[in-house]
Amino acid sequence: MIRRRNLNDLRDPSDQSDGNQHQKVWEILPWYVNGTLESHEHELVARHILKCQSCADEVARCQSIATAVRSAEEAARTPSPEHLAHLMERIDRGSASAAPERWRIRAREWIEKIQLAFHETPSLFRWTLAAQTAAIVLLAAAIMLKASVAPSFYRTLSDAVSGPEPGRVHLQVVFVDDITEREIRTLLGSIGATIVAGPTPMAVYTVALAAEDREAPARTRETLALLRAHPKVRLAEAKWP
Amino acid sequence: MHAGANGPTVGQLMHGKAPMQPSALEDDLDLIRRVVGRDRQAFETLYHRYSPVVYRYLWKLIRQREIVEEALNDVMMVVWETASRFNGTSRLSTWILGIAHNKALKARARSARFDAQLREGEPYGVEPSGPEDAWAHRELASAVARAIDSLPPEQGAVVELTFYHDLSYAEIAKIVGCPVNTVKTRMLHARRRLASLFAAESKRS
Repeated sequence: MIRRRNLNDLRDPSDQSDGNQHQKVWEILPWYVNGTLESHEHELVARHILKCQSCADEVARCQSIATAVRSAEEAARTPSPEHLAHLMERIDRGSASAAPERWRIRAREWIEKIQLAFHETPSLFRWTLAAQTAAIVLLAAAIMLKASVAPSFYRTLSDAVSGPEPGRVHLQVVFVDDITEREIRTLLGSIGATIVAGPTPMAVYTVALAAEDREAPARTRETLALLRAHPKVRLAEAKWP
Repeated sequence: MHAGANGPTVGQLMHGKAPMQPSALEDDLDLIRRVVGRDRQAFETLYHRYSPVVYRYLWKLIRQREIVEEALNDVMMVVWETASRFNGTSRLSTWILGIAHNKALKARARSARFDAQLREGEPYGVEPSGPEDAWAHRELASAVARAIDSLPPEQGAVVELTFYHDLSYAEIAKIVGCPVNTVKTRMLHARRRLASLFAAESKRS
């Protein structure tokens, strides 16, 4: 029979002198009842309940709980007979395409983990998080879109600049910073070249030589040598198609 | 299982409380090795050995037959697919119930209607709500079982694993993925909630 007392104060009954030991025993009583305590804990509980009525009563309550759990109607519930057949069919399908199936399982597990974490997050925080995530995704999409349509501002010297003229040899030239416009015109005039593009943000000019195709290789080497020797030219390279 | 007709519980198998084949635990290791080797017959044996226990546990946490069967299917599929990950540091049953616990939580999360349906369809509660006579004729065990069903799932899981599956608190901690002290605390909360039921019964008697 269960004694009448304040059962809301189960955790810390006031009539115990050795509070620490009582507390420790009180916490592990369910596992004393199911017989899974280590031997030293089992002995501790067994000794304690001989002198502690509230713990002895709680053992009786735990036994009642165990009886109720074990006698519940769910004990009779089993999977339907066709369940195994469906499972084996699923395994057969999985064996036919084992790798994709495993990939799908892992992907689904990740999605489920995210969904679970989402559901377990407090509502206000959840929607704030969702809004932030959506904003980040939109921002990332906008940046990617812009990057795909915006002109590239960085070019190597071998990059195409704009509209090379067919049949003419093109060079890419970088002049020193203090060269004047007049000096550029004079220099390019001396080699028979005209500016076809530039300067780029990297100060690269593309110039076209007025040479016939058959003369191009020799003329190009000669012109490059002249340009590279010029004190106002920092860099000169042939621009190959 | 405890019900008798379905055989010993996992806990009974593990702690030797119920009649069982002497080599059952060794059988488990042999079984899982054969499953790793894609032995379908071994897998079917494993299914028959553990599906009732896993089903019962899933039912306690989910309580919708279709979802429970789907979750059981998922659990067994994970066992088949990842049997090689079982490293033998825990019992096979602990490993499988750990998978089941995660699947049950995910199934609950997916089923947005679950809580509302449970509240509407099953009038669980620890307090007597009908006439005194109606309450008086109820069996305490039945009332306790209903009260257990009304516990929050994390507390209900600990109660179920303790008193039905007869698992130690360390094994329960592994299954539900939390520290041992959390297991004890959840059990304390559950016992406190159930205490009111015992108090009511005590007054009645």
